[in-house]
Amino acid sequence: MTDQKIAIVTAAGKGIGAAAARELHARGWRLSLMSPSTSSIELAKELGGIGFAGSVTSQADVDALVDATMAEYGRVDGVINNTGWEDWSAERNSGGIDFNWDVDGHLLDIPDSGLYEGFELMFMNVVRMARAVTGHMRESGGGAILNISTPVALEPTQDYPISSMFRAMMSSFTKLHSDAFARDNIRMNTILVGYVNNFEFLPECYRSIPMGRGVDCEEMACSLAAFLSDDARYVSGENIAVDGGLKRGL
Amino acid sequence: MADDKVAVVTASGQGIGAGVARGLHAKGYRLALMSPSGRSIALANELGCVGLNGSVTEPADLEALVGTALDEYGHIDAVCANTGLEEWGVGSDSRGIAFNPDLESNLLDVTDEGWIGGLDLLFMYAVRLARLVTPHMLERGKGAIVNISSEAAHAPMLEYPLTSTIRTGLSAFTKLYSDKYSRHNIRMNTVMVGYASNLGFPPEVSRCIPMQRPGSMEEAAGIVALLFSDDAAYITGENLMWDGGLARGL
Repeated sequence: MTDQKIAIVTAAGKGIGAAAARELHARGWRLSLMSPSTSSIELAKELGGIGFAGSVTSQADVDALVDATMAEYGRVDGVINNTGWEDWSAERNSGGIDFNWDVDGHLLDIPDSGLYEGFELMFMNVVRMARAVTGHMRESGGGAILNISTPVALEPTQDYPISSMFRAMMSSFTKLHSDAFARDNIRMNTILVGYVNNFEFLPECYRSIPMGRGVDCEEMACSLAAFLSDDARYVSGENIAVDGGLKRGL
Repeated sequence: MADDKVAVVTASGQGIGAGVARGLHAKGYRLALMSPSGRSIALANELGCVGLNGSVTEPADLEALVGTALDEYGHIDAVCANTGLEEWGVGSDSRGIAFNPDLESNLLDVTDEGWIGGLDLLFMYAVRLARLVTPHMLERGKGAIVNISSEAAHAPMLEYPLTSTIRTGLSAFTKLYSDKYSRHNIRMNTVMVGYASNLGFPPEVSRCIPMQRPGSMEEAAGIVALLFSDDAAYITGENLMWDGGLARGL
């Protein structure tokens, strides 16, 4: 096919990132994958794409990924900005998104280094990729960027203090990027991912989800592929919950 | 009278910080002030309180400020965490918070140093202040903290890229801090400033504001004093619009 679309997926070695890569492949996308281990390289081999070992916290790695993608395919149509997980989750999470009196959390114990790392991992990752791909997308007439986030970005919880604070910043950046570049047909949206079945949560967690269950990575990957596709071509600057009804705010 | 209450106000050499200091002084608070310029020292001399030269982005300066307040007065009842303005603002700001299609955005031009500097100036300063005063307030069994933020934190504007993104994290921090410490009778709230009279805006801006004018420094002091007071004893974790009706979202 000559009209195949090209997607970059970061943190694509496992979990949501790997599932998204597989689903995009199944829908005819050609792929460029990156993760800190070699698992993206292996997955890329399997799916006939290109893979790299690298970190979303390094501008050099992100630039190298985008440069290699341009060299290989000549364009970038879609990006899924997946990232790693925070180190400062509460030991016992609260069993849902609501305030829980019993969760103590680490809020003021997080050292400066923990906060700066969180900023890199959950905010600058998106900034770095935007810097690297926006120009290329503009030249080729458009593109779609999806950031992987969480409902706690809009409804903070002690369970995940780093995600709560820095991914709130990501939601705002999403709106600003859209304000600046939607006119160039570059869409940026953020997917607020609920409880995913690749982690184990307490039974109470599932009781807080209207659908009564977590989401499988494969199911999440379908939603991601959908919002990356032209079916969503008028959706821009949005923070979209794919969470089985978890989020409370309207 | 505030019955011998003690408040710390940062970035209090000019603008909202100085206005808050004057307003609190008029209500009987004893103050500890700090700014980078020497103006806080001059203001402190005028008001008969203590003032330091220092920056909110320097952890050691914040520590010195809190230490000085405790040495001088023996306790701290309230903290107004004010800070400086971001250096990456663009545009004439003539349309209020409405999207401006004519704005030349610098969103992707902000350097790593710019982002990290913004994080220190617009987020870390409040975390650091909270770390410093919380043990004392826990011991004392009460306290009130008010962060000065911007309406752009909840309605992002390309005119203020750092404020729009990073201040959103401060709103989340406010909620998380409140989740953890309001049970100990320590309240944290954030005042989201719309347009304030200390900064020059084109006259058209006032047309976007239902009250048809920016807020005055006396009014800024009023809202901070209100949130410090026991009249607000049940208000915590709140991000309060102080904007003459400007905000659109419910």
